[in-house]
Amino acid sequence: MIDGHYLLRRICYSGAAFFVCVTLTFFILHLMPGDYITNYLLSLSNTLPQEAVIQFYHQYGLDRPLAEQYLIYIFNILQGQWGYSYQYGLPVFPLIMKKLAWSLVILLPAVLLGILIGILLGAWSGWRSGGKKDLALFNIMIVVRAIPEFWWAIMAVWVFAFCLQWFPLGGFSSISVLDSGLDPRDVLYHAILPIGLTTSFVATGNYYLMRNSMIAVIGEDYITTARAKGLDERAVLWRHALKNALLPMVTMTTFQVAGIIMGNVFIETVFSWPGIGLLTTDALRMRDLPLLEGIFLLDTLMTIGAMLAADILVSYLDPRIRMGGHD
Amino acid sequence: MTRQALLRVSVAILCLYFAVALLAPFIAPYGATEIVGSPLQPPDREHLFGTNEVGQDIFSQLVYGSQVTLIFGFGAALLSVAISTCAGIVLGYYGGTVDEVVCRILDILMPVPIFPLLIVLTTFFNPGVVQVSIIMGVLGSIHGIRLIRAPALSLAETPFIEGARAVGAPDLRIMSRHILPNLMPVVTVKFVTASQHYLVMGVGLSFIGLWDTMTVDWGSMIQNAYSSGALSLGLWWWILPPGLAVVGISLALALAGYSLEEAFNPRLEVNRI
Amino acid sequence: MSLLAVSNLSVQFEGRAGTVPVLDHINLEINAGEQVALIGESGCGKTVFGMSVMRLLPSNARVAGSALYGGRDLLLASEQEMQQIRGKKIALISQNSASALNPVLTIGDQIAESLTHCTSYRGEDLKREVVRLLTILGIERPEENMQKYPHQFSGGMRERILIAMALACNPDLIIADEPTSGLDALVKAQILRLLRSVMQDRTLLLITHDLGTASALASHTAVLYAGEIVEYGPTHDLFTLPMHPYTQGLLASSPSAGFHPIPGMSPAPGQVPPGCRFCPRCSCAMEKCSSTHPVLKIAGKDRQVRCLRYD
Repeated sequence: MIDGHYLLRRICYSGAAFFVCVTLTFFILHLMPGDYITNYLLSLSNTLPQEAVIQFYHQYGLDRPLAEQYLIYIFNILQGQWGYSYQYGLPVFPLIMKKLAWSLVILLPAVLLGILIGILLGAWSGWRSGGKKDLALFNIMIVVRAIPEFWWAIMAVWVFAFCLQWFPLGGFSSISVLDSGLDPRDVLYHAILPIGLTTSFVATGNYYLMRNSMIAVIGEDYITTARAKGLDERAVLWRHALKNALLPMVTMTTFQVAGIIMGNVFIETVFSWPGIGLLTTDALRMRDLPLLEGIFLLDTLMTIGAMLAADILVSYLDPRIRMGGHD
Repeated sequence: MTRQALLRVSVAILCLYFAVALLAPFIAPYGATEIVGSPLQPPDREHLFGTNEVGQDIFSQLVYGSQVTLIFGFGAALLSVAISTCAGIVLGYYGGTVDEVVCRILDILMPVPIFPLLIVLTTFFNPGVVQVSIIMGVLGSIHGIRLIRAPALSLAETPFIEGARAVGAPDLRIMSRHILPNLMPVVTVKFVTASQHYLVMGVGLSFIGLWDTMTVDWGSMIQNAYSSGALSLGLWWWILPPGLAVVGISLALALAGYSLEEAFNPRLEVNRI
Repeated sequence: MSLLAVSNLSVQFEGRAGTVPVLDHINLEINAGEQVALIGESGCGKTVFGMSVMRLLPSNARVAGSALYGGRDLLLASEQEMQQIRGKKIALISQNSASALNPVLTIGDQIAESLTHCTSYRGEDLKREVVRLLTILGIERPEENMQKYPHQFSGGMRERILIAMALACNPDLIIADEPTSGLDALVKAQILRLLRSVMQDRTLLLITHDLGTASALASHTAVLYAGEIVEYGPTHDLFTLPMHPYTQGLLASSPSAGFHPIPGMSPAPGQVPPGCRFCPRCSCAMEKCSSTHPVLKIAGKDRQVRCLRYD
């Protein structure tokens, strides 16, 4: 069945990767001039009561030798205690989680739609590669990808929000939230532009990859065999070409998904959408190191998770890996 | 437009950008941070693109800003590709335990997300353009090494190279005279696409506030204009020039990259425009 | 009775560097029940011949001439018509069994695909038919093996699977492209034996560079050089009394004859010399050979040769 060895190795590597990242964040945190508490207090410009300060010192072992602090740090991380944000004064982990939920409101539909559209268009384009329609679509995609995300976002806001006034300018809800609370439809209304934009970006990336994959597959001998059997174009496309072209896409798509989960910084910033992206921007401006490190660690975890998921998925889907060599 | 023509146009556009960046002091009528007029003036003869909210000349800012943007983009790309190429060739050529160890390390580092890491590191290092582009170059090379190593490996195993080794040709010579030239297509394409990627990323990072606020570059210009409400006030000259400048060079690089990729891999050919 | 009559088949490929001619006015007739071998070195255009008949050439191919089958010119038939002919009436056994099979489908599925195309077998009947085919082709434990994937089989096995796919619809003509290349001597002998028994009453076009394969399987042989047929005849006659210098050279270069290679190299497509294309390498070239292009002429019972020495 699935190669246990290979999987085990990947899991160990993933663990090692996370470990490396945690070590890195630890050293950066502690190499900052001034110690953690002082920085924290300085940036808040309110004074904490003495008991809180003492509790901090104990929790982080700031009075202990470095090696011990390191171990305590790791222990804390694993337990979900990721430090306190400089600017909010709140624990990092729950803060990130809350914002992540908001990010997902945009990301989940955008990623799913984007992958679907990208793959379909890419397959269609690759199948007809070199033809006029492929040409046109390909060049459009190049231009779309070349224009930076934030610029698309700004232009979208200008055209759709200001000029046409079809959509709101940003944020996640209207002022009415103060009176009536959060209305899902209102939130959705605010989410349409960001979702649309994110979908486009995910789609262009997948389009390009899928098109390349398709082109590579079309040149393979088994496609000729399939045609030689007298199968019509549709059968050749669906049963033979697509199946093989989708295989490498599994890995690449999961990698992409991992990247986008934390990378929707620009769209969220332009639209003031309260997700991780906006959190990153704010944290960057305030030089809120613990928060930034927390985001970094979370991103690492998600990427690791995505890659492992891809490995497992591929080893299940590709018979060459699933079944091993010949007898 | 054929691929050749497209490539020429792209290169011409890039040369234009480079020229502007190099000749900035001669082209810009004012300093980048000089206050030269009343705020928010639309374009006129004195100020080609008008002024921003404190009265600085936008055209001058655009011209000087190109320096930062281009230095970051091309600097990071150059460094990243240089490291990837050298490391890739050395690993592919020598193979053995060093190769295995390094590959394991690269395997482990694969999931590390570069964008957040870059942000964390620059917060720590206090970002100057050169420093950040160096960090970006180093981080970016991690993925690139694999890309170069693969063809270098297969080249090193060809009978030709093996023969050269057997004859006693010095390793450095083999690598630079025989392996490197064969990899130039891959390396060139990688450089062009990396430049586009990092350049846009640089502007984006500036947009979200990576550099300190005194640095004038296209990203900070866009950010400034946007957050000050340029759109709602309809002050197009404030926000459009830097944005279009980025789009222009990004497009030129993207098209150049695709043309080159097509030239070296005919199967991806998308014949004419 | 003529099954496939190819006349004046010329194939060129259009590329960035211009048009490259590969086949030049090929005439070949295959009668029902015959096994005809088309031999020639790698790259001489033999595979292109097979692909032209099947209309499976890439889009930059320019084909002229005619290929008459069942009263129809295959080269003019519509794509729909060709889809009815491929697999069912004319089947192809591709080169390179390693890449000719879809890696993500079981071999059972791939053989069944051929069957559903031309029969009404479904479900259990379909399975039985697949098993039957696999058994004929000498694949053991067919029920078990039909669930496996191509990469799980050896080269010889995959070749058998390809043959099974070709036989599935009981076609009039089978085109076998290099069925024994890449196989070691023992397996090759097995496959040849298998092909012999299976092709007994069938019409076969065998494309190969291997003289041994041709002599083992073919009743007639055509020799292809530089895009032209230079000799044709019953295999036995051709091999014992070759007429064209190239054929003679081919036979002399085999291990059993002493490994005497033909000096020089075949001309690249599009760079053929004027006059006789083999002249530069011919040991018995005459003066007029370098300027006069010989025509394929009858040279005895059922024999043709393209050489000025026999004019």
